[in-house]
Amino acid sequence: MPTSQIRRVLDATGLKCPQPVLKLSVISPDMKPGELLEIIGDCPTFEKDITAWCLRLKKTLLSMRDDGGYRKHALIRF
Amino acid sequence: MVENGMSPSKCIISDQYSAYSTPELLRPLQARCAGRPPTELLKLYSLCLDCDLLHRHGDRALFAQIASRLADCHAETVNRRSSVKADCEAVQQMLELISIGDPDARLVLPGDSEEFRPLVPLLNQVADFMKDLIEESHETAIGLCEHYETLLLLAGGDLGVRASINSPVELIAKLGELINSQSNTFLDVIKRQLTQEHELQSLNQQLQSIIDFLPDATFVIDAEQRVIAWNKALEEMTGYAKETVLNKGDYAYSIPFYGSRRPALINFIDNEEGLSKLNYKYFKRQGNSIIAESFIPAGSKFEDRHLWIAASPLYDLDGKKIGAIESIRDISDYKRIEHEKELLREQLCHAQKLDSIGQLAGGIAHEFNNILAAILGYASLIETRLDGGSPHLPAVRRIISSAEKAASLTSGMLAFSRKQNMSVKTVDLNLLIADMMEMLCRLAGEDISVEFNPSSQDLLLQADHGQLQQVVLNLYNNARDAMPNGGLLTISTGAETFAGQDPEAPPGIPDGSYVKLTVSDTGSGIEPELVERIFDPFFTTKEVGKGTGLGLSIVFGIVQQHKGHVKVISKPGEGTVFSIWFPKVASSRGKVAEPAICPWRQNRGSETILVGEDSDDVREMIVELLRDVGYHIFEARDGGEAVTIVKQSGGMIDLLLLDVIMPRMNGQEVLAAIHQIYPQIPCIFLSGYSDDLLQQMGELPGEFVHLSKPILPGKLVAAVRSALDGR
Repeated sequence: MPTSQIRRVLDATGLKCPQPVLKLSVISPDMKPGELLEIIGDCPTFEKDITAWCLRLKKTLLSMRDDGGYRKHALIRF
Repeated sequence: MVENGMSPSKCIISDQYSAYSTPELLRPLQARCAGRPPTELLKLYSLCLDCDLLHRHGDRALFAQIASRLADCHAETVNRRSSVKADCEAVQQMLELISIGDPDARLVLPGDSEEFRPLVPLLNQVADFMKDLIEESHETAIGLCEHYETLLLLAGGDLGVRASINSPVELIAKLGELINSQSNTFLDVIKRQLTQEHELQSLNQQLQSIIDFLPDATFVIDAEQRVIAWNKALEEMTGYAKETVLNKGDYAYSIPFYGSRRPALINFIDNEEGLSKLNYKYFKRQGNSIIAESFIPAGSKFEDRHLWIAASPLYDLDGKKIGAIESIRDISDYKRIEHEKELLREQLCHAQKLDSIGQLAGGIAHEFNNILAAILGYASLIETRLDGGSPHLPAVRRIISSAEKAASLTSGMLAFSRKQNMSVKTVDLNLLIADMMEMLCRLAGEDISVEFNPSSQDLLLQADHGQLQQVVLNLYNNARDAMPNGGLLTISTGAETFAGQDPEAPPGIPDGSYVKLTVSDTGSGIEPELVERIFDPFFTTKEVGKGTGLGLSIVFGIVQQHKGHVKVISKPGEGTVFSIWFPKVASSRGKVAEPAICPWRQNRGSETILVGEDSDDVREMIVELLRDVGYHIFEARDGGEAVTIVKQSGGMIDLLLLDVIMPRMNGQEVLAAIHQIYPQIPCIFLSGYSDDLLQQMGELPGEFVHLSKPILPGKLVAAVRSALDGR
């Protein structure tokens, strides 16, 4: 299986920001280049934080899906 | 709904009453009640039925006003309640947004109720405060994430990565600067370490190159006795490549040498325990180093090996032992050469000893010859002058016989000392031995079988026929005497050619073709310690009176004089083989004529002869002898006098009889000087040394005769007559 198709999931629902990005940084060393990570959160600043994290840490934010309310799915490629 | 008493409505109404009690106030109330349905007014009314104001005033108009006013109040109250409710909900929603941390929360009162109005700035302030907190905490968190990522990259070895220092959070920005500063410090340290490591690697490479370059096989072990260096010389010596041994411990370095894991010299630097079991031939300690010689018997891969080994510990800067180095030199060739040198040295010593003895013997024999010449000469004269019946005749003949034996003895001594006169001509060894075989077989005892195995080749050599016979005879006698209980005596001949370093060649023999003579027996053999002494003059193992001890010495001397080589192989109880090589010649060369021996009294003459001889005894004996047979004699005591006499004689001298060695001028110089004036005068040379003749005169021309001392009278007069007749 190509590395880019490997997808890991980090469920950060219920966590208040900035906890999701901190979790993201903790898991980041385990990710291989090209690997995909799906992170789910429901914090009001989730989208903004994830976007900023990807931009600052030079990761690619592939998509951000709004599930309603504050719940969102982000897909990041490392 | 207010039912009675002091309900809130009642209070409101009471307050309203006082407020609307003036006409100015009632007017708006009336206006507000206008148009309202009667049922609503009735409700307002009945509410205020028990109002004390109503009772107090009893004024219907007023009541109506109040009712109207109440209706207005009620409507107003309803409106207010709706606004309050909306505002309350807005506040509630605002609080919910704040509670979940929505930084965008902002309160706007839809009803703008005055009750909630004071909350608006407060809650918005809280929201703003919360927003600031969120933004700062998020910036802090992401900044931390960035630094965390940076540290991860640094930890992973990416020293080029830099942390962000642009965070609005001062601590995060400072942390970034600190990381970068630390990273730079680490980078400097790492660069220094890399430089040092590179230098260390260069140094290590340099050391490896030096170790590789060393001509001696060398290896190095670390503190755990693992091999950390194994040079090219060692690879060549053992056939084990460096890669197969490096980093191996447990005595792996011994396998190429000893075939098994065992301690090597390098393991005894600190402690010599167990060293004695390993059979080092030599061991010495020099400071911290140790030196030893090891002998390794031949195995499947190598022949016998002698190794010279040195081992020394290696220390670090603190003096701690960190390993050891061992250097191995294969000295097998050196040992072999040393052994050969030792053999050659022994041979040289032996040759020098024989040469010294030969010089002594030759000198004595030469002096004795002069004395014997006089004794023999004068005894012969007396013999000729005595009557046949003289009673002195037996005694004189005994004198002559004894002197001849003595002359024979001195001849043997001269032969050994290689100073015997040689009459060299081309001799066929096979023919020489074949001619001797009848005599040799007769000499052999009954129990001894004699075999002659001649080579089919022509075995020609330049030799003195008589001396060569002497060699064969002496070896034959020696072999025969070695077999008192009988056995097989074999004489063989052959031809051999040596070129290069022929292992079969006898030591020291030059390249070339040789005639080989072998005389072997199956006798008692010679003890090894006696073999090198058998050529010593007067050395004999025979019983007293049965051997002179000169037989093999004469053989040795004659062989040497003929530029030959002799080799003896003997095993006690099995026999002895004497092998002799003479330089082979392809064809015969001119030979020196030997004067025929005739009865000397028949060789009379009347010619004039010059006798040049420095020995008075010899000269006077010759002069008397020659005058006795009729010759006219001039005497000269040295070469110069001889030349003078010839010059003054006016050509009347018919023959020169010159000693080779004389004071002032030797025989050849005298002859040369005289031949300038009288080139046809014949000459006979007298000498006790063949070498003298050869060295001083070169190869003698055929017309000149040389006579060896002691000079027998018959031989002398025959030679004189022959020379005069041959003019």
